Amino acid sequence: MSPIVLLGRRTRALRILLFVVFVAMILRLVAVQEFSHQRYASLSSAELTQTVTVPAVRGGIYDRNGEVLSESVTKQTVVADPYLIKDPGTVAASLAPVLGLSADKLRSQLTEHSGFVYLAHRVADPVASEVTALNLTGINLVAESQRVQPVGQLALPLIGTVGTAGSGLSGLEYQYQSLLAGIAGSKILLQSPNGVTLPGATGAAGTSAKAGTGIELTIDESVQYVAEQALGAEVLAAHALGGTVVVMDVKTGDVIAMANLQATTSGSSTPSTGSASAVTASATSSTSPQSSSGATLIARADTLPSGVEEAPSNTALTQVYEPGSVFKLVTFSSALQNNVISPNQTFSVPGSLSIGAYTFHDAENHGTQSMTATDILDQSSNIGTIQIAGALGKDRLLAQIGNLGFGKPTGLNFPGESQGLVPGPNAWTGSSIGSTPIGQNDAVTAQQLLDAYNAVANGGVMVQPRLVRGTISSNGSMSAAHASTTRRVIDSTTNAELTTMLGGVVKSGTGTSAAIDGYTVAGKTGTAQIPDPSHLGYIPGAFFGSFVGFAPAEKPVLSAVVVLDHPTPIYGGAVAAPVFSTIMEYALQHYGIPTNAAATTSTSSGGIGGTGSVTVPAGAAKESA
Amino acid sequence: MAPPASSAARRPAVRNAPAPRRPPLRLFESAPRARHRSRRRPTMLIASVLIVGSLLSVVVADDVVAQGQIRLANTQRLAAVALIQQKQLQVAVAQLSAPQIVVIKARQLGMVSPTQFVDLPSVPLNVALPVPNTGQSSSAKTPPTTP
Repeated sequence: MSPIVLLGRRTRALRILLFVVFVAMILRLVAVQEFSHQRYASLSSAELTQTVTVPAVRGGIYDRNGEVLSESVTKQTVVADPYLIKDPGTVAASLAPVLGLSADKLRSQLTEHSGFVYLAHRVADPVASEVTALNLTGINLVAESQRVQPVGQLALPLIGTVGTAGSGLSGLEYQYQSLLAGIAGSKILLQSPNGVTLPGATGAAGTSAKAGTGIELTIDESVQYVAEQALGAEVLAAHALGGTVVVMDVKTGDVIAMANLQATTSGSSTPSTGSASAVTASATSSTSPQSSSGATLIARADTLPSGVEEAPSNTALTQVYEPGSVFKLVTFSSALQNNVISPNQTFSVPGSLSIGAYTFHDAENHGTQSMTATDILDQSSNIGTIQIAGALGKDRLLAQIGNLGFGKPTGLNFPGESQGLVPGPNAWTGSSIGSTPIGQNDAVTAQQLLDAYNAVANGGVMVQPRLVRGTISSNGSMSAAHASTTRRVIDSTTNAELTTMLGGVVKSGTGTSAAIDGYTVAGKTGTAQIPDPSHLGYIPGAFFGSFVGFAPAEKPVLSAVVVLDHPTPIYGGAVAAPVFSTIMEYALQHYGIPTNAAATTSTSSGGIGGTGSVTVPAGAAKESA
Repeated sequence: MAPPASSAARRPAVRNAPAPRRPPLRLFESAPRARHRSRRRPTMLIASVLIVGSLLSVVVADDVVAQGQIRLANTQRLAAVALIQQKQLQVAVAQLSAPQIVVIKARQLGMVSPTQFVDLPSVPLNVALPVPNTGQSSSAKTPPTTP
């Protein structure tokens, strides 16, 4: 074979080889670019980028006038990258006085074998500025959200707490977690292979966080404060274990105040500073005080008298108790509605009555006496009420219990809310017709009790209570919540009779301490024994004292319930009724509800007293506290 | 086998005979070279200007967009800082206007709760307001007369 021919064949072979290689390269290129590009792109980005979660700003909680009750603010947290710190001793010495920490502790933190160490959480702004001014290599500030309650612990059992992770743990913070939390975003950072963020390459892409939705409560900060003050003073004066107050707008069902207090046990009292300057002092301190739940309470000026503190839970909704005489509303409303009794019908009431294995007495021993139905309610006669219940019968009594909302959820859906315990037909015993009508065989929440009396105040129409007036989007626009649902539970005629009878309780009965100068008040006292959980029967000397009522009786605007746990004296008329009077007097004046005299004068001119449809205003009563 | 003589004799004659030169096939007379150059020059110039101009436009537009991005980033950062400050101030205001703080401040200023609350009577708007009693006699208000 000639060299020329050989050369030609080699050339041809080389060409073919090159062609094959070229085709292979093209095929590989197509495979990489078209079919595997996502895999390689992700591998590349995984080496170059780091996705950081950007937490959403949690929505605030406001009162009905827009005052802040709970809000999230951004604070700076001081962190260190020990790998970048060459001289930990010098850095620690510089930082220690600024952060208020010991230099030795800082030095040990700065020498840890880690790329990220927390030095101080959520420092005050001046401290953050000082740290920045030091310009220390390896010391950085990262933003952290902090939940603050500017009004201290006011209404804390209702509002609830937020954990260090920013999630609601209790109360409304927990109930509305999904609404308040918002949607977290993400930020993609470019970084070197050893994890150092590349300068100028922050925020390459990602999704922006969506701020949480705020909620505006029906609570009025001022009335809440007065309610807590009055209740706290009475808890101390009566040596009670605790107490509950709920104030409600009669027409709308808006809960104006919901206070839950307990007496402090030795050593568990929340530290209070006792002066206004404490707010400033704590707000500007290097590190804000932090509660056990993680939420920081900036304002610790006295919300409460010394010796009482906020209850650990919202007992107005979560705790049930035997209501006692305040439950007689059920018996009387049903008896009047079914024409079993009339207000002036006379009964012969003996001193005691034996039913089944039990003997029932009135609070005060007496012989057989003649009493009208109105007298029976005024004097809170157990025997008279049992006689009326006997005439009414089991079925109608149980029907009215359910009709007034006992044993059912209130509709608030509050976390841990109890729907109470009421006897069903199957649990009815021989003595039930004696105990149930006087509020002994059942357990209710303070809110359920108030709902029933509020129905009387509202002309026999029950209004579902509500705690949230609306939601506030991140751009500030408010969406009003749906109005509360209503249903008639007592007919108008019966309701008018019942209102007059309840007015007599305050005018000349057991609830005279609930009277308010210038206003007529209607309500009922209750003094209930506390069942012994370990034995059959009741704890000797242990009572719940309560009062529930509304004002002004002619055109009710506000209703309220006051319950005291283990008070001394034990009677609701002596311990709970004065608290009702104090709170209601303030609230009526706060909302500009005219006194009886003023209402009479202004009726002809169509004033607020003459409209007959008065509701508690929002955003109009901010001037007084 | 030898080729035929006739073809062998003919081939050198063909090779040696000079091929007749054909005139160039031209349908149109070509333009003079100088004219052609002068006509192409403005086209090149315009094209160059357009290309350079386009590139410059792209550079300028990119610069404008980059500046806008920087301004946007700065504005967003300022807005975020302002939002944080607004929240902090809102909380500070809420702290200072908290009921317990207002009560403490009021007590420091010597304020007390009212012992009695009185509603003022409603007065119709068409009733003339009473003349305030200044405590001076009507004669004192009379301007002096000239003698």
